[in-house]
Amino acid sequence: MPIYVLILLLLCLNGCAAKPEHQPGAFAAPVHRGLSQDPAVERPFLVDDPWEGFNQRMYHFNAQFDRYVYLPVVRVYEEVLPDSVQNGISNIFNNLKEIPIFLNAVLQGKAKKASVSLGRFIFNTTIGLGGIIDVLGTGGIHQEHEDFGQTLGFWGVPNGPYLVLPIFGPSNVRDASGLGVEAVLTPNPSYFALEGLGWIERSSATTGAYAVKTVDARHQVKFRYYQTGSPFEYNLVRFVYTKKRELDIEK
Amino acid sequence: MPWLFFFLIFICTGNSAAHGYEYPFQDPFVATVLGTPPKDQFQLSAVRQAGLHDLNPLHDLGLIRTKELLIHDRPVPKILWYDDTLRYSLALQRHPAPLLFVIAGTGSSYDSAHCRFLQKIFYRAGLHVVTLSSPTYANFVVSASSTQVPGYIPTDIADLYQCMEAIVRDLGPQRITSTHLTGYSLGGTQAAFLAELDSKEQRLGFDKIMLLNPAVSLITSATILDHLLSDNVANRAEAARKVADLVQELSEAYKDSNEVNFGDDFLFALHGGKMFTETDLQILIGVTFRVALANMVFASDVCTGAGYIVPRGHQIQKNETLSPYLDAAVGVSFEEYIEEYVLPYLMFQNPKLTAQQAIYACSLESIAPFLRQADHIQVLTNQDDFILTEGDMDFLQSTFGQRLTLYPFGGHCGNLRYKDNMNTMLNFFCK
Repeated sequence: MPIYVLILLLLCLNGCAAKPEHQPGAFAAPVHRGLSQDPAVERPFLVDDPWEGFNQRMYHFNAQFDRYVYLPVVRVYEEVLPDSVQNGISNIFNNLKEIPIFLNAVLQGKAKKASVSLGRFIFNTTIGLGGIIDVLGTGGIHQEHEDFGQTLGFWGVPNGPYLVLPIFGPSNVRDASGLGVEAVLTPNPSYFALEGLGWIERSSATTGAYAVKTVDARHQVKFRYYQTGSPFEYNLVRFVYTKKRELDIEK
Repeated sequence: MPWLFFFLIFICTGNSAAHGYEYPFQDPFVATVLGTPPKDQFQLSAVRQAGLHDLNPLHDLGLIRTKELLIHDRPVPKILWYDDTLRYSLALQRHPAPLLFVIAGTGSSYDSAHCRFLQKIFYRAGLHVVTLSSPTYANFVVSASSTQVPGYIPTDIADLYQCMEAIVRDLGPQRITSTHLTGYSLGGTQAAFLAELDSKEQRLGFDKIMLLNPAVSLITSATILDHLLSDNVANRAEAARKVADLVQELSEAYKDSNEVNFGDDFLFALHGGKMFTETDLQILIGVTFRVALANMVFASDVCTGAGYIVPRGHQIQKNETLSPYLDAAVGVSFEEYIEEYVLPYLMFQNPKLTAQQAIYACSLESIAPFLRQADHIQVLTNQDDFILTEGDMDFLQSTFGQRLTLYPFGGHCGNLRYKDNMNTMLNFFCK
């Protein structure tokens, strides 16, 4: 049986490889607009990007991964579970994020944000049944955005070059290093639920929780590659990401 | 004292007219940029109160979803690999129901805010709703356009018609009791042309058609939008500086505000502080149009390989920087695009065609006799819609007569989601 699958797969791959390349049509435009770059013109959307070749490739890879692997999984998740359950799951993971948010707000000396974050964590964990219900969010107190990259930025660490990470997407050298710290600070929900169980149960539950977390993370991000409709999406995303980070650090 | 009497009448009618339509923004540019504040928008519950089955958490599963359709099986340029299929959105009723097609405006997708809003409302009202991207949207150009040169209405609507038929086939005709059509902005204009095409071809049989803020002549309206930018800035350098200033102002406002996200609320909060001048707003609209145009021009040029932006014969690789192309494409105005690219292309295909004929074919005037007697078409637009000239307005009035609903303000599509407007649409389609 597997041999048939293999043959089918090979045939499919062959089919893909045999697909003819795109060829230009017969019509040639009478005017060529040229690609001269006038240095006098300010380019408000241009971001310094020394690794653009690598980044562009990674951007395409991420989009392909999204289309053929990540999103199909997310789609099944969204179709199987009712919206209310999906929201509950998102709320649990978001609630656990309050811990790094609180710590980063403290590290930046932002008292108001820290207290909002702490308050949200306490109320949502207790009244919100372990974070399933975002009680304070419904009441209009929304989650703050703070992470370790922002803390580094706050204390004057420069961005470093723009960097597109595999799967995670747009980032820069500073924020990418912050991601590792975030991961350590954010607890896995299975730590609390499974005390007293054996090692195998615990480790499979932990893996399961990470899997759900990964799917939920994509479910929560509304961004879809190439849905802006612009062939220049890479440039737009690069600008928006860099600008937004810059502002959030100053805020 | 007859003059006093008339004066009083004048005041009274003036007042009652103002009370009759309470859309909040009377400046057309403010209306266009800000749209309708959430509190004045048509509410979903006004269609039908949420019933018991709406509370069933299983009810909402998979009923509004994005679908993909392969229209042309042809090779796609490497850097546009993701646009091989046409994407559209389908909201499907569980039982046979009327089907409504919604066509997006210039450069907008099936997933634009207006499309999503109309889809939600009409779906709640009991219709299947399909939203389609504008033929000027890159995904449509690459996947569904037969010529891949957008902007010439006769071919654009033929492509749209083909897509609609494919969607109906995919959906199963037995699920559809009747077919309706609407579109906003350029989508409205295309809807009128589709009505005419359908009256000849009879393959879909549109029952009711509503044009929302349509352009009468594509060239005229697009030129007006272009001039919003070019009349307010002297050259490229100044335009770039203006945009940089606007970005800077928005950034400052964002830093000072308590809002966590850039959303509609943020824009409304900003406008409370009257932060945009009239010129700013015009530039904003003009720049948005320009960027949409640049996307379209570049996508089209990459597909045809005509050498308008990208040097002819050059295949763009996935790791190549697109900044110089973006730069060149943003420099193209709509008039230039038509003169330097679309018209030469059309004449290359059909040497007998003249520029005047081609431009006339993109104006509603070319199908005026049909529109005059087409009782199933209605038009909704605003007195202060700046994409229409006085001549266009006269044309709409004389052609559609009673079938034209004219609101005193709302700019271009600004009041689309306003209560009164949505009520008019619902009354038309659902009664």
